[in-house]
Amino acid sequence: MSSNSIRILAGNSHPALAKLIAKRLGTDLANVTVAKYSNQETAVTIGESVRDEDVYIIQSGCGEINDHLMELLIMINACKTASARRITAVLPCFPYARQDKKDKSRAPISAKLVANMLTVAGADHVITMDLHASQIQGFFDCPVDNLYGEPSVLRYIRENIPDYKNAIIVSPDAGGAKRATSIADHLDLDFALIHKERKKANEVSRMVLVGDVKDKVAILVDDMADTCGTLGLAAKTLIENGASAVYAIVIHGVLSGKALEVINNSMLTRVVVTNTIPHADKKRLCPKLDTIDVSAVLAEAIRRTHNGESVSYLFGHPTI
Amino acid sequence: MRNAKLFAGTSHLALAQRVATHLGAELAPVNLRRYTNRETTVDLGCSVREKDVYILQSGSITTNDHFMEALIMVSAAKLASARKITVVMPYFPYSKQSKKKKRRGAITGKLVASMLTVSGADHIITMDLHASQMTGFFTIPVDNLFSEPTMARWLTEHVLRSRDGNGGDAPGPGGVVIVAKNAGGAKRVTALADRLGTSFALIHTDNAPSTRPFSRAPSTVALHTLPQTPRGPGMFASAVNAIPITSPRAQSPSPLRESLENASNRGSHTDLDLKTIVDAPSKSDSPKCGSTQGCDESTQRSKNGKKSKSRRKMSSAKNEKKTDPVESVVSSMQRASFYVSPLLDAEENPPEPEELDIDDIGSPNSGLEITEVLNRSDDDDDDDVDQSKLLEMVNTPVEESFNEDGSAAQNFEAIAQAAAGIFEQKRLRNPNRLAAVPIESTNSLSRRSTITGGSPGIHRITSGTHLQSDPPLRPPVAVTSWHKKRNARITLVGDVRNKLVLLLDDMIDHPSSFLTAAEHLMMHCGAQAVYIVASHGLFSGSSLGEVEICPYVHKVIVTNSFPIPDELTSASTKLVQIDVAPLLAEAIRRNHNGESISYLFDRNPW
Repeated sequence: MSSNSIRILAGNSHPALAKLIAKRLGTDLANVTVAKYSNQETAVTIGESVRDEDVYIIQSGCGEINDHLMELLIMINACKTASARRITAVLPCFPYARQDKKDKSRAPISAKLVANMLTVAGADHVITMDLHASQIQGFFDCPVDNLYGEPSVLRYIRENIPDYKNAIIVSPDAGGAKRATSIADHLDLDFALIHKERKKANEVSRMVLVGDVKDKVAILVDDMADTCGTLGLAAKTLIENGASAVYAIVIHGVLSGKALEVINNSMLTRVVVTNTIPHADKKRLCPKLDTIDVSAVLAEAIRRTHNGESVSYLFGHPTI
Repeated sequence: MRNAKLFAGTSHLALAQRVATHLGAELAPVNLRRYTNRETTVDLGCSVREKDVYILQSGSITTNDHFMEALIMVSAAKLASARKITVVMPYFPYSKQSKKKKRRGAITGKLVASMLTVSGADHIITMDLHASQMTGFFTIPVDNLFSEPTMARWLTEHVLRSRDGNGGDAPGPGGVVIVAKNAGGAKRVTALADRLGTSFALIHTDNAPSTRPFSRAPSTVALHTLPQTPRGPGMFASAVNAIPITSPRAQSPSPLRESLENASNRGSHTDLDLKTIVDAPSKSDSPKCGSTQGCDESTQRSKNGKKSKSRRKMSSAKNEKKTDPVESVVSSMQRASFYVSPLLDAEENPPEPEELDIDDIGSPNSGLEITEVLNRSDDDDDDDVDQSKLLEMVNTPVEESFNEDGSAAQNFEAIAQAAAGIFEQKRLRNPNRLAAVPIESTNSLSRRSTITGGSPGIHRITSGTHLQSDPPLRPPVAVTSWHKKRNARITLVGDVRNKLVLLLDDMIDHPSSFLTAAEHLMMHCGAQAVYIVASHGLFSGSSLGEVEICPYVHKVIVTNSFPIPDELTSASTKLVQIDVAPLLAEAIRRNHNGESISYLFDRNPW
């Protein structure tokens, strides 16, 4: 174990989460000023020494995503040049994670680009949560810890969904079937699958439900909810097929565009997201939103990384 | 092609030859040899200076040798001032290892990508990567081709539209349903279903908690209820007792639970004698009962009279093959264990069959067996879970665990005895063949593992031959499929009743999970027939033989991206290989001429 100490730095993307994490670790956030010059260039000042320290920079991929990414890169680089012993980028929501493959001709693999940029900037380690595809870990040349929100989700279902034993886990698309089955296994529930035929991005045309949801509480599970068009339509499909209520549990609640409107007007009883992305203001506009706090998982991962303990323990256990 | 040279590695010459033919070019001369210390040496037989070099090398059974060969060829071409080097790998080796398997796993796919880049490759052409995200592992362009259009056309012409689909009328899109055997393949399945206009379904195998204490959530049974349980096989035994307590499903009185309780009440399984083993399965009416034949010939005959005909036919196709006596013993031993395990499954549902594997793994000369076990797990539905489990098991000292848990050891003895019994009968029937093997070896546990450990892989190939000489001993295969997922609960989401099922995945190696799925579809879901469809057919060991004997699978359709030995393909009546040489050739041609490859993603090139 190294004698150096943890330094938590936070960017502007999600100060609330950073504070929660720091609080759990019993430290304060390091004094950092992240501002912009009048020409919109990002200016970073690290207000205290990080020499030979174990630096953790918390920045989520949300909101002004490019600005935040740039902030993170500059902070990493500032710490690097300030002789930090080790720099760990903590990205609760990995930016550009959905652009992880050449799904169309000439499509860029932007996630790989982000990975390269982080490495080049000087990150020695990356901690993130529920990567859209675990293969993104292979985009890096440095270690990546991909944490799972699943234990927290399982606990939420057990504690907050009444009559969850009569529930059915539903994946809103084929790609998320594995995630849904994993949760269904752990809760010993059945699962169903909705197949959507997508014509354009963020636009869903037709939905086919495979599985029986009649008279059951349907719990939609996905890793990311953006405009929520899918969730809204999925809820409608489920209700039409006889589901008694529909919950949606999503790890990364981007909730951009008309998302709140869609949720408010949908058949969804509740939409649960984790706080990898700030949504406090959205909660005021949308009473159906609920939050799972994952700061404990991130804090524990940071603590374990710092102390050289195993992180894989967290994959199966919710942290208190 | 002007200014281009197509070289072929030794992995899949047949395919390379076909690609060359489609391109209207000759394969460039190359001399690939091995030094006596097994180092590979490459000698490009023509000038490649300022030429575009294409090197075709697929993954194969001897993956590492062939991959090394490809690297050396790339390096040689680079040093010989080639302008651009493109590696064509129809089957990308190590592509299953594309992510960290939960804990401390290597991303070997990334390593392979880095090695190719470092050796000097400028471009990669591959097909149906296990995860398309793997293109991001490279810093050079990768063309990930899709066999789906080729496959879809073949299926349309020969299955949806033709009349030779298992002798029946053409089912048409309405009569066909595409099924994923695990949740991970759902996307692939929906894509093909959309293309063919058929419906789709999904099989979900829910391993009971006791079978996966090392999965992502070790919080399941074993660790929670038995905090002091030692890690390793012993804990499975204890986990059995724990199941009824924690598993909500077991709250209702079920035969499973009763049997579990019986098992735990008894405390040990010593009374599990041969008799019970024989009786147990005959209660069920599935062809599982075939497994009892070794013990009870007459019942078996009457039950399987119908099927034996086809089986004989099949075996006669293989009867030219020579069988080494030792190998046949090994295979029979393996089968003997197959006989027992499913029965235990039916009767007791104990953890012991799991330990059958472990026994092999833990045996002294186990290095090769580990390889085999991992191979098998390759086609598991959720590879990350299972592989991590297997790896943990490999590291567990087995003898110790057995000693810790008396019941496990005793039960295993029962299994060994049963195996010996079957074996003995077989020996009496067939004294010549087994003469070379000391009989007592079958009675001892350690001996058994020694034998099994001695010749991995090979013995499985011979199982088909074996049947022919020994008709009463019944198909191991349908049985093998169960011995893996003993505590698994299989659920089909979707409807396959009276439909032709295309069981789709991206690759098939050891088919046990396919066969289990096929069995479920045929026996419990009313499927009309099951065709296995996969892009890459690896079929290591006796996989093809197992598919061949399995009564639930009617065809297995793969592409020729992966080299399968001719003697295996010709011996199989169910295997269909679809040629992807035109696709690869067209990709090479377009690449060379600077044309768009994406045209090929949803169209057939010819």
